[in-house]
Amino acid sequence: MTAQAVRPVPRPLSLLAELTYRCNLQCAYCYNPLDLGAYRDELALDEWLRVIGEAAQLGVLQIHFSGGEPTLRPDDLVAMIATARDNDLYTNLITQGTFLSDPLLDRLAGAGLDHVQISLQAADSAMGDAIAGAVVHARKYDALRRIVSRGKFALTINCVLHRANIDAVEDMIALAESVGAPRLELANAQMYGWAHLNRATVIPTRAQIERADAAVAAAQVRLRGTVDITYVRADYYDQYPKPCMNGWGTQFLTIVPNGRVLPCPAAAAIRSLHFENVKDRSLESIWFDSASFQAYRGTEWMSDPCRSCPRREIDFGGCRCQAMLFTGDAALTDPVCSLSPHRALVDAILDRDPAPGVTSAPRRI
Amino acid sequence: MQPECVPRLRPGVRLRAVGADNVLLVPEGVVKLSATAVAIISAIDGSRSVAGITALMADHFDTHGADTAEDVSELLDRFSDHGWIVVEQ
Ligand code: SF4
Ligand code: SF4
Repeated sequence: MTAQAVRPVPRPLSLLAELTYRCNLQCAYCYNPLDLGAYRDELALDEWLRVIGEAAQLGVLQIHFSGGEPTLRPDDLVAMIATARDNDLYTNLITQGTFLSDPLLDRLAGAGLDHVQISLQAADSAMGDAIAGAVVHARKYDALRRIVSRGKFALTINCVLHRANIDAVEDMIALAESVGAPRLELANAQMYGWAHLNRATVIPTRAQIERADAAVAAAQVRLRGTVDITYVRADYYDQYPKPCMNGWGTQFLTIVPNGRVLPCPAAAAIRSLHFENVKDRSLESIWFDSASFQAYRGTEWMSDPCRSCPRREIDFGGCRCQAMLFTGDAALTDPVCSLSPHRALVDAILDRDPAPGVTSAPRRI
Repeated sequence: MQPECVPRLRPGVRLRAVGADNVLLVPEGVVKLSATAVAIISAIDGSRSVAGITALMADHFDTHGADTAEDVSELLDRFSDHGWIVVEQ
């Protein structure tokens, strides 16, 4: 046995609970899987409540409620938040905000919700509605204002940046400032699920990314102490990949709507792995003993160039799902890496306009 | 931070025990704190003033005088910069 193999397995810090993949919007950059219909058999409330207790036992400190749109199960969501708080977990709701009525906000506050992350597709309503594929911007903006004026939760505005809205990033920053949001997360779209399918129309050009980098950096300085701006760069124009999930099976767990447990929210794309279900096994045994969580833990699974690379403990070979989507083999070096023999597969989709007639496929069940 | 100021924790900011340690849960994640920081955060209740917190800390750590006041005020300023506390004047 090598030193690597006897290193103790860390406990998870954070659980992403995806209540449902149903959503009334149709964002082309959605990272949810394409086969949304396969997740209709949703975990029931009593199962979720048991799993929340197991997660707390296992050492999880934060739970993020997401989807799809988690407020499509409002009663279950409220009960889950209350149980998470009873277990002393930090509770975060990730929502697109179209169902945040005042009565629901009251119930969420009553259950002890700590933090709301509300997404906007753009600052401008015509652009926002076009991206969402539904007339919803005004409703979302109204929910945002009501959350600010209540002051009951920590609040973050979340905006996914992509080809259609990245040039207007300064408008989004101005919106966050004018509405009085303390935090804004600007995250470049990651190429999973629907975003990968729509990559030709979703990925910005290099010039677009560089302009956004500069605009955001200037705003971060200007708004220090007013709006805290987190900027998540896309890695596909970079030399090295991101340290995906801080390493497979080291901090994060995702439970998808049908109860399967994934080391990364996009991991369902890795068809060679079997992901265990919380209906069949405890979360603890899945975390420590399942083949899927052990598959890419540590560095033993790596082949070259990662295996002999000094950066292997820094980026852990990048993202397994990105390797899967581009090369068909999740165990290869992330093709974003300039040392990967497959980097050309990434370059081939960058910095070009979509072929004539190519449009985004709206996310649909 | 003036002695008469009254700090309180922002919504979505909470201290909790993890084993023998305390951590601060905040929107951005989990923050490990020094023993002094934990004691100060625990003393923030939305009605106790900076002077009151300082007195409590002097008691707690068996220190006294200007040094404690300075340390407390400095740490509170830092918490405020992070957006973890707000201060009523
Ligand atoms: S990204 Fe858009 S379509 Fe996907 S779950 Fe979020 S709001 Fe719905
Ligand atoms: S070869 Fe592997 S470990 Fe080295 S930088 Fe590239 S992805 Fe990271």
